[in-house]
Amino acid sequence: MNPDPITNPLGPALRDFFISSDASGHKRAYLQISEALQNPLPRVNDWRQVEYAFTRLFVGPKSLEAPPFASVYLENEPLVMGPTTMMVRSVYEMMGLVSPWKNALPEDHVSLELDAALVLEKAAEQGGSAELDELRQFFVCRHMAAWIPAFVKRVSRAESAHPAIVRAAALAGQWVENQAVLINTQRNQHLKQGGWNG
Amino acid sequence: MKKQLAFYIDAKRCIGCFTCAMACKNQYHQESGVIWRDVYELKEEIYPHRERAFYSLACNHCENPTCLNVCPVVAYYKREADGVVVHEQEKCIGCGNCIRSCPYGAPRYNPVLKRAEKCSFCWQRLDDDRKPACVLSCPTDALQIVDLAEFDEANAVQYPAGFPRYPSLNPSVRFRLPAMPKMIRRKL
Amino acid sequence: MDKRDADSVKQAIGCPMSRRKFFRCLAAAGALAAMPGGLLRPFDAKAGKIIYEGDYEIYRNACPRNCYDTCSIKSYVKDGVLQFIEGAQASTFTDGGLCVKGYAYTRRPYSPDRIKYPMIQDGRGSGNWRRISWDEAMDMIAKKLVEINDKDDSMLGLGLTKYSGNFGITNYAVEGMMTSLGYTTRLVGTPCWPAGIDAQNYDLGDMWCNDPEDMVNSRYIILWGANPAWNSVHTMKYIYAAQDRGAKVVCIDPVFTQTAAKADVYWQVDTSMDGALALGMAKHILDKGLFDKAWVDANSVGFDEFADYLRNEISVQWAAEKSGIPRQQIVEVAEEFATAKPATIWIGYGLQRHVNGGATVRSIDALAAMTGNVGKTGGGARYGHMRTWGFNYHALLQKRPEGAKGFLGGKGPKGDFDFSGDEEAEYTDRALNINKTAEMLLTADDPPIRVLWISCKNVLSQDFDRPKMLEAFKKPELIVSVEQFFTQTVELSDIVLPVTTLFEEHTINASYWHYWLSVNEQAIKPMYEAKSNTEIAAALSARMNKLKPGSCTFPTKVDTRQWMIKEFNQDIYDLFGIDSWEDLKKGPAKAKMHPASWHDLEFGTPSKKYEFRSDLCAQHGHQALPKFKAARKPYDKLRLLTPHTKFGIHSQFINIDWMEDFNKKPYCYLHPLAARERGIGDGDQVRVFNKVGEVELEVKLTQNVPADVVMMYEAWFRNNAYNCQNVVDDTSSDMGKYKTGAPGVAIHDQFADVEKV
Repeated sequence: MNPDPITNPLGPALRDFFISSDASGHKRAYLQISEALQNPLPRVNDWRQVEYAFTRLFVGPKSLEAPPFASVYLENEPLVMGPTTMMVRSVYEMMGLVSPWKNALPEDHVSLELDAALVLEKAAEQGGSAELDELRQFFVCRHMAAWIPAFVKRVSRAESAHPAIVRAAALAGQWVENQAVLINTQRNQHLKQGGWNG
Repeated sequence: MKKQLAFYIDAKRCIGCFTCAMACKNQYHQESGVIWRDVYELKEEIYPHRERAFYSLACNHCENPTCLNVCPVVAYYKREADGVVVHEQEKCIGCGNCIRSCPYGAPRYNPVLKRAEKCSFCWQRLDDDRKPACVLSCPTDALQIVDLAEFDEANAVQYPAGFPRYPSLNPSVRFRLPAMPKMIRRKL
Repeated sequence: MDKRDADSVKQAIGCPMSRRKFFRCLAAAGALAAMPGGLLRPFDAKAGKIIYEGDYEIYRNACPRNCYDTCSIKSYVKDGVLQFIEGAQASTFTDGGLCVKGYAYTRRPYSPDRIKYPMIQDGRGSGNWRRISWDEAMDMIAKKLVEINDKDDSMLGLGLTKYSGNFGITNYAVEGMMTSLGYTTRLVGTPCWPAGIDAQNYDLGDMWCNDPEDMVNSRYIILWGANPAWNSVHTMKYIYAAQDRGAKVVCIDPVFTQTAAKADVYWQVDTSMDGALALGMAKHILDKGLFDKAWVDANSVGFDEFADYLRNEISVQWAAEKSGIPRQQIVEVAEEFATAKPATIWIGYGLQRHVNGGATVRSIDALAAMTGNVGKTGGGARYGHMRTWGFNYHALLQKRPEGAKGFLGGKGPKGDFDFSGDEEAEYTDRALNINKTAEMLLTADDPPIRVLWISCKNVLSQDFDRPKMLEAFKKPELIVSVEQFFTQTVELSDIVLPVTTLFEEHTINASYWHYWLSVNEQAIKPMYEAKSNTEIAAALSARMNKLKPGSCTFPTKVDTRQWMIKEFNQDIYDLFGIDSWEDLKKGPAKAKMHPASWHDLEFGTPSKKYEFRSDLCAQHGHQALPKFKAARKPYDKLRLLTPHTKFGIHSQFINIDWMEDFNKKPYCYLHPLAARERGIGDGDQVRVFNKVGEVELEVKLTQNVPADVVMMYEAWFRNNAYNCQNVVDDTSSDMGKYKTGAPGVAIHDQFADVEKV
């Protein structure tokens, strides 16, 4: 639960949804998304079914229907712990952060990337710097914007596409898009105003 | 003659085990389908038993490399010291000239980076006094690295049957041909 | 990702050196803080390493697969990720290279198809999987085990099937775990080499082969039913070295294998007639007086009776008719073999996968012995050995819980890798034949197998008579699989537990062929939530004891590195000439053993001599002499062979995406004559079928197989239902019960027909 009033709770709720590990976790995050939107989401009657679908899409043990890792959409081979994962890891390190599951879960998991985008957003709101701006521009507008839409599409077309999960994915896609628009708008404003000196 | 490193493919010792091909993948993690070293089955016209004789081939680091000659952005250079032909992928614009012009199919297209790439003779390993990954890996020493300036194997040929003949490029490869046993088959 | 993006990030932020500057700048601006309730944590740059180009951590590993070569591996890790591997150059056997399978290891821990967490399938075979925590998984399993113990007043309802998926010594923790729970049911025996093991035990008193590296000294090498060019690639160099020195290599195989293509002479023997061929050669050697009389007189018993048998019942002509090899060839090779000093025979495992397999191996042993080639460098009847496996088996040897009850009567189970030295006790585990697993699951009673634990084995891909196995898998109440990938076995399990790969665990590896020893260090952290078998045993024990104190004696907390160290003893140190296991961190070590097995001529038989006549063998229901034993009668038009492919070890590796670059799909192989009779063309889709089941795949026409054979390789391709066990039944081989607890399987005594689809 995020007590911070500055940040819209939608981002954290979306982040929590894709890393939740069972039916009750999925439900909790989903309700938080619903509250944040103040808009009704598709109603769910059986959260066990959501859990089965979530597992088939994102967890296993069979081949994932919609792997939630950037590598899979940005590299030709659907493998992880390769150049994309390592690049994202170094982005986190540049931000002074590390994944608590380093080497056990690839850094380019959608929830970790959403978390990083949230950190970058908060840092920007609190002042920021040219370097930060550059990093955020790259990570959200170039990197995330490059793969999240493909991920969202893959979820919606998957065999186990549960409406609740499809909706959450679509919302995540929209959230990233909105972030990108916001970043670019702010950037243009700054450039017009003579911008950063860095 | 100047030092020219070359691959010596001893098809007599080669057991077609694909260790060299996978050792290369292990070293460079190429994208699926982008194969730098492959192990080619000799057709039955050349060796009469199917799937029993092979040439392991990568880049031939030619004396007069066509890839280098057709590259519009000078993304290739041939090392003075040992004749290794290096591709600088950062400079590559993915025009495909080298891919189309090499008769040995050494440069391959990387669809993710949208650039060409090929076997580099593991030049970073060479410079660190290590054998190329493929050469080190071969369990029968059928794939060797030789210096053509000093190579003196009587039975070696440059253009065995099945290997395209391009003297104008002068590929830096040598081969020994595979052998055959005396066959005692059952009457049926 | 687009490398241009990575470049622009690098440029914008600078190279690793200035990353520090950037970090300090951000920190100073107070811009850095993990989100409250967020996932990412602060990164301590001071504690973390700055990784420079070319700076790797190097670890020692070893391939734990069921393979002669057991390669020593050097692993290069950077930033906690395995970057590339090499064969250890410190081992003369590995000699710097692995194989096509070994190099795919760089990919294996990171394959997205890897099982990441404990999972439960709601409804066996339904495909409805859910992630559960380790605690939940252990709780479910422990509760079930307590339940069956209450019901049956024993743990005999718990069955283990485990074989060769991982030969790292600490993995005997699985058997140890079973013992620590009580007396359980064990599927014992081995599908691999049991008939030959028994044969060598009857003849010589143990299975003990020469150092393969001494093959350079052989003047004559017969590769009999073995295909080292595919299955022991590292031994090929010694065969080549012998050839370069003038040795002659004869390859005997029903199929023209890759090895056959490298020999000097290839004999296309009729499958399962190898015994007749060996006896024909022996007869000729006897007739010509070319046997080593001095050796035979001093070191054997029963030769005179064997000679009588040869004179009265064997002729070269008969051997030629039975085996298909012309008389002239048999005579020539027999004389060459008998007069070359030393001469050696490599007895392959395929050769004994027949109803007469054990008898065949005895005939071939006899050839080596009568020519005085046993106990000599460069000589010997080579099969395998276990001389370098004298560990403590600390993980294996656990105590039964107080008051445990078990199976009454009969000796405890003995596998081929049985190190328990079990003494006879009132109770034992219940031993069932692993080679008839489907049958055992269906018929076991009092109690039935209620809980099946599957580890280091892919039952649905590898066990025989797959249609029967599908029925059998309906019976157990709970099926637990410990696995790395979503195999055909996991598909029909209830719970799957993710297990570590070689890079993620501490263990030790010896070989059943060469004489080297490797330590296997943990090179990377286990991916996701994978645990080693030792840790799984400890976790289960912890849960069992919470539910029912005293129900499991396995330690509940384990330091897996310590457990690896505990396997070593002074005998091992002396054998390998090392001061401590830590010496192995510098590289593998070779046993200081005489290269010739039986060099001391002190055989392990009852008579302490080589036994041409083995009374023990007769007592066990076979022939005292190595007489010819008839083959299995064909029950269909073609013989079906399902040997091993170079691209995989049983069901491992072929499923890795890297391997798919070079081996995309399964094929069957048919002779052009057999194809023409059936209107089949090269590249057609065909059905291979028999009384057991059927398989559909593409055909390749080749004279590599004889005209009365159809051949396909055992393999598991991901996303492909291909499984050769659909057409293989579980008929036993003659021998195997003596030393391995159960007879083997006549895997190559199968028959089928082929038709175009």
